[in-house]
Amino acid sequence: MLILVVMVLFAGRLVQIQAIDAPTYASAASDVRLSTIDIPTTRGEITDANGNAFAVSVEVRTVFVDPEEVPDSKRAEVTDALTEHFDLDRDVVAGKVAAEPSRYQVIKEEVPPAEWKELEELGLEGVGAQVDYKRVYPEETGAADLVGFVGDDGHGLEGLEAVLDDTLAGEPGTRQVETGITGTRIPMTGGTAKEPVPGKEVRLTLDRDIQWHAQQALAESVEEMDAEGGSVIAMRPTGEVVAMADYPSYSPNEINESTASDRANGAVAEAFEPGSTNKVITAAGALEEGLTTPETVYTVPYSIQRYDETFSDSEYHETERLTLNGIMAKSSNVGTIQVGEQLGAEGLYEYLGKFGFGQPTGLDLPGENEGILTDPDDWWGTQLATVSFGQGLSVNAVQMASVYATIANDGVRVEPSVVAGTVGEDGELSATEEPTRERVLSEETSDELGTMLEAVTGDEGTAQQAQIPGYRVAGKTGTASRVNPETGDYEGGGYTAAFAGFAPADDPELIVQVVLHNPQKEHYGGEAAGPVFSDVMSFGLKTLEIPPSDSEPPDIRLTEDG
Amino acid sequence: MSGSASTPRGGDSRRSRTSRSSVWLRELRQLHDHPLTSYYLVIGSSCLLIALGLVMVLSSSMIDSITSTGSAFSLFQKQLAAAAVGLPLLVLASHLPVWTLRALGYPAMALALALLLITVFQGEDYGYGAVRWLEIGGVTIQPSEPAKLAFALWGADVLARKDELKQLMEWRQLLVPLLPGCGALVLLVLMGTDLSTTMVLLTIFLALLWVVGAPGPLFVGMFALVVTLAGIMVAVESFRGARITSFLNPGADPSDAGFQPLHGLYALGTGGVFGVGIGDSKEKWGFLPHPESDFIFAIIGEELGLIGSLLVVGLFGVLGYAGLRIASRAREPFVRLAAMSITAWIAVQAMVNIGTVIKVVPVTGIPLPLVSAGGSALVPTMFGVGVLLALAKAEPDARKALAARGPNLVQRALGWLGLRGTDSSTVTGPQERNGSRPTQVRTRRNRRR
Repeated sequence: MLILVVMVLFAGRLVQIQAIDAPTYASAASDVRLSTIDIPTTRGEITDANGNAFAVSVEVRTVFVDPEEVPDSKRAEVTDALTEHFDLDRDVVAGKVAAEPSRYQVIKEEVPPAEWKELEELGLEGVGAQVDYKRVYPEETGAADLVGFVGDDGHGLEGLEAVLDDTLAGEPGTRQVETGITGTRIPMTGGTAKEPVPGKEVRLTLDRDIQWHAQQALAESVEEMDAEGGSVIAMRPTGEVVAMADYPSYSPNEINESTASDRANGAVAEAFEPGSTNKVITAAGALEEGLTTPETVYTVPYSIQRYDETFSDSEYHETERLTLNGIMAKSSNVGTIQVGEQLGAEGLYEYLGKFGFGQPTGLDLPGENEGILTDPDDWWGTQLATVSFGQGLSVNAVQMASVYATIANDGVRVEPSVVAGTVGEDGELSATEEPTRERVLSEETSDELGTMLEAVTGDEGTAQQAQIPGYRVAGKTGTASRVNPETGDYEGGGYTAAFAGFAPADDPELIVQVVLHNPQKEHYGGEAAGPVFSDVMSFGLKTLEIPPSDSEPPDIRLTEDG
Repeated sequence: MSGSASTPRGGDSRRSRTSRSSVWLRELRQLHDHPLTSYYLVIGSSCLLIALGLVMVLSSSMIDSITSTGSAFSLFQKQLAAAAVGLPLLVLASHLPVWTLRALGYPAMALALALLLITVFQGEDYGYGAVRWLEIGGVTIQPSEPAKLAFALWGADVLARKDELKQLMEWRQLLVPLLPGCGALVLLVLMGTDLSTTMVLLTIFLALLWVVGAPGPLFVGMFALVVTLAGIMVAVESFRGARITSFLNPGADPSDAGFQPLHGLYALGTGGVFGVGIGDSKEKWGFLPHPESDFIFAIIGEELGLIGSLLVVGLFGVLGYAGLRIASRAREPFVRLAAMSITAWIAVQAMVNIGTVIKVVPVTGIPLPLVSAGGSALVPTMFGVGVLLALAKAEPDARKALAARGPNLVQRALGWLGLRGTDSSTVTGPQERNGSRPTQVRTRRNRRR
């Protein structure tokens, strides 16, 4: 009788557990067993416009040992083989091989698959390898500041790697497996829950060779001029960045040895007072508004008084009668102030804005500094004068390059871009969204400005160093006073030497903008930045196979007398 | 084996009590009253349990075996060897005359005490923190397991002797030497911190007192004593149990002493009604420590489902019923006492084990008789089943019935099923045994319709 009672009780309980509450228990049990394993996927490459890699992911193996699987008698053999194969410290390896009851001890990471295959053929018991992916940056692309790098988790930390992480990373797949309490996978359970989606290849507008050359030329120049740093932008008239070099830079393969300022991409992160390169905007505004012509003659003394300040040209000269062409070619501050006053504060501000000052470049790079452009209502008395020749406002190198690209593009400003698009598995490029285009100047004004800028590199201009044999080159020097960060004053702040220009002047194909921060040896834009410009420009023209100019620069009048 | 041929029948007969067929009922009553019914119920249920046990030991131990020895069969082979030793012992015991069984009582008890005593001094703890194991000639045994058998036989003999001498009117005669004997065993077993064996011993003790008709106050007093003891032990155990669990299984949350029983429920729940299939248990992958012994019932429930777990409960029910039937129909005091003590031993142990898994009894760590891995438990239990068979045959009519069946075991079994007449032409010799089985099955099916 008792047995019957107990049996009924037990049977009832069993029915409760195994029939009524079974789903609850079963799901609780499977929750304990189920674990999700990430299946790594390849990160998309970053390449230049021609598909040359700036960053690639390579498949590597993480070689590990399962100490439980190594028979005690074979420990020495396994240890020796591993030590020899990877050239490791024998004691460390021996410790790992003997590390029972551990089931997983990493021997070496980032082992090339071929090297693992050799080891695998030895058939060592308890030694295995996992597939992993490693990000590799081919040495000396000179694009470290732009491209950035990934962290240990394989996600981008700096530069384009960070900005484009979503595109590049892809989605790791997940596999649900049921595991025993020791983590052993239970056979014939689970399966792939989600296939990994490989990351997309990102194609940049850059040209690897020009990038490399620009970086080299910049580095040499910065060293030679004993400057704090600098940047070089090469751009097509339509805003596509062909090279973006920054100095100081770093090697993405040795991130630990770099500092934050090494890693910052100064081409967008550093804003500077543009100086004379800005004069082109003053002239452009005045021309476009019909307030002046290239041949309009201005009386240009050496210095000019505005309110409590005296502005003077960089070198002493007798009062001259210069055309607008002449003012640009000789980079006269006094003359530019007069042109600026013709245009007025509102007008100048409007054109600065149209050329992209005080606005994001649109490149969407980390740490971008969009510079300072204050509203003319807030300008102090002499600020119209200073802004007209490029002091009292700040820009970054890309913004300045974009000004010259606009002039080179017949007055239509195309927002700068660095990403051409993504390349799918079929190898087809799907282009990024068309950048915004806006007409800033008429074609006529652009032509006039081009001619004017060509005179700068002419025999009478300030930048004969920028000449390139066989090509007509247009450009503008810039020598700006820098604010001394300690005093907040220009006193002792040094200079920013810049040169921006394009070639061939008659049919512009490439814009190069060079800026050197606080060069000690030479501080005039022509002397300091000019040679880098002509170096990068001539290399760029050759690399892009742009035919030399077959025409002569037009004769233009720089002075009243011609 | 003749028994296995007849046992499905045994199981059926129990379950089909609800059948409305009056023919069935009549036949059933006839079977129920048959003198050999106990004999076949015992042999059928226990052989099924042993067979199921072997299969499930293999299934549940293979993961642990392959991790620790590299062979999935290492533990199973041991169990198979134990069954191979146990089977002849079972057959031998079933053929022993009752007086030999009685004569075995004192020597067995002495041997058990000696082995337990040696264990206390020479035993091995095998890292479990409890000295329960003894190595003799390369074989590791757990002396507390055969001690249960020894105590059951000895206790029955002692009380039977006193009963025959009409000495059972006094408390002193009732309790001496039974109580000291039990006490000595319990003490030695407790030295090995084997609380579950202690409880089984006390259960046998109580069962003996019950059968012998101990005076009410005495029985109640002893019962209260045992319950108090058990209560104390469970209290101590739950504390120690938590420690041992976390020791054996560092992956478990040490603060969660319910880890093991919880996974027992998980296993049963995962099995559902039909089970995940033999070999496909997931909980045996380390979630249930020692799935092949204390929690083998959980694995049975997981792999064979509610059907399997109910079958096991049912088989133990049949075995228990048969044991009680032997006791109730016996005239000799020893037969009654021995049948009762062995039945109580097996049934209570099964009850506690299953109760633990399904969480109606606090966790104690006790093997499922005849099923769980462990030769030390299997061999004495199989011998105990043999003793039960011998006792079943001691029923006066059973002897006659057996004698009437002739020498062939199969024929006897068939005769019990009432098939002898129809099948006698085909069942003529041992070589025909295989041929006879499908016939039986078919016949059975036909009958069921």
